[in-house]
Amino acid sequence: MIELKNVSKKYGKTKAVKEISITLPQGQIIGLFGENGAGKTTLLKCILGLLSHEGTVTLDGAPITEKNIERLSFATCEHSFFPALSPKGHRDFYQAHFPRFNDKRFQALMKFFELPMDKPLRAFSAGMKNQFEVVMALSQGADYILMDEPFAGNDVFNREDFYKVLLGILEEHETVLLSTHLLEEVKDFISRAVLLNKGELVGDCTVEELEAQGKDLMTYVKETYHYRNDRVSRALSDLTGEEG
Amino acid sequence: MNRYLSTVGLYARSSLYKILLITLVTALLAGALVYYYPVGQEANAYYVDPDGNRMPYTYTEPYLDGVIGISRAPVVCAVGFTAIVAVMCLTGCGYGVKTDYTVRRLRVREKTACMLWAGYHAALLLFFWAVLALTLYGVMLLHCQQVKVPDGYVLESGPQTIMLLCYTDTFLHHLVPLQDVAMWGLSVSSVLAVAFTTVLFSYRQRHGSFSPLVLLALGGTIGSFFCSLGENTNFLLMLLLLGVAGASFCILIGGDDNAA
Repeated sequence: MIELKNVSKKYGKTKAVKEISITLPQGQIIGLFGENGAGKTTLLKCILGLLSHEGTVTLDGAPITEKNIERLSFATCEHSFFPALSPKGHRDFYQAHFPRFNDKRFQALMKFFELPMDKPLRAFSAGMKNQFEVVMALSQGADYILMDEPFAGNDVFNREDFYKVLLGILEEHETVLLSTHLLEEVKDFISRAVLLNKGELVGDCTVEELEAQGKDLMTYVKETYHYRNDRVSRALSDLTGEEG
Repeated sequence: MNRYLSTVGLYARSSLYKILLITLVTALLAGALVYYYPVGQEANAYYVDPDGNRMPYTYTEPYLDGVIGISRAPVVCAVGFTAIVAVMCLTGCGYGVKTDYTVRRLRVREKTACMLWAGYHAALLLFFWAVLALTLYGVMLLHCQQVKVPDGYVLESGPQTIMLLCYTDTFLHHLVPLQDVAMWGLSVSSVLAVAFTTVLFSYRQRHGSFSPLVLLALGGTIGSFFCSLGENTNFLLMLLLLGVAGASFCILIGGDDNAA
């Protein structure tokens, strides 16, 4: 279990993440939602130790260091692969470095996305790079797979198909923390939603809890963010001068 | 595979074949330049045959002093060396991507990985050095053996010929310093400086900044290896290169892995 206690991160005087305390048990697909600048990416980087921060992040009670970091993987739209290496080169390296590398899953996902094995990554299109980033994060053999807008720029069919495949391949002990804007697309796949607003944790609810309350995810999110249903009609009315 | 070896393997997969190719091409070009440079001049002499008669003959007298420098082989070597330094610097930079996110998620700390990569770079630089030394030494040996003598007679160049060349030719002397301890010191300082500064360059690039120390290491090495400098200048260069290597090492060891 990953446990965050009072995690805060400042960029200069701006607080990007404010005292977030949360636990991420194994076996969940968690959606991390929030508008631009809500602190989603910063929070993921704090968990991975890529940013210095206040508060603590532990993995099964121990701080995250080079001794247990292999249990976490990361797919980011910023891309973290080595551009000069081919997928085969990445696979060989991951296989040698991460003892739990899942070659079967790697091969299956490469086939699913129809990615070439011997071309250097720098020659891939933006969409293919995103797909490869996800392939490596899922194949590393990590218990906690952190994804930050992994499919920014990919077409909708690829994304939908991928989520279906993701549900099919994940094992019970694997947790996915998925930061995305595409709430509609992932609402049927996630088991828990964590909502951030201006760096603060404003919502954390499992799908079971929502079902018990008779709500769906979209309603919960709209309620949490105080979404105004008349927002569009008022804007149109202001622009056109007609009554909404 | 061992996590340390696999970390070295990550760099090797990106750069090994490129550096080996540059080394090979540089050695071939430099060797060819020296080999095909006309070093002989015709000379006449006599020899005494078994019957005691003085017999005239013409032979090619090799004139090898400074041949390596005149043949422009050091320029080719300097270009090859610069190309290798460039490959070493760019490996691990990951322009346009965030390679550091992966480097900092390895099973070894980033500073440990940097030390391993510096060791890998030092090994490759020693290999480059050894290949050039062997090539040029071998070519000079071939030149010495091209002396023409009458059938049945063999005129062997003694090891002193080559040994003298290793002292009189500036470039060959840097490659094969023999018993010149100061020159060994300068050459080893160059290797250390280039190995650490190239890794520091990519480390700094991954963290969004720039390290100019590699330029000092490159300039100092080219200055010491490829130009004829006085003893005092060589000593000062050695101190400079050792300082650059030490500063790079300290920055890498003291680097904050969690820096944003």
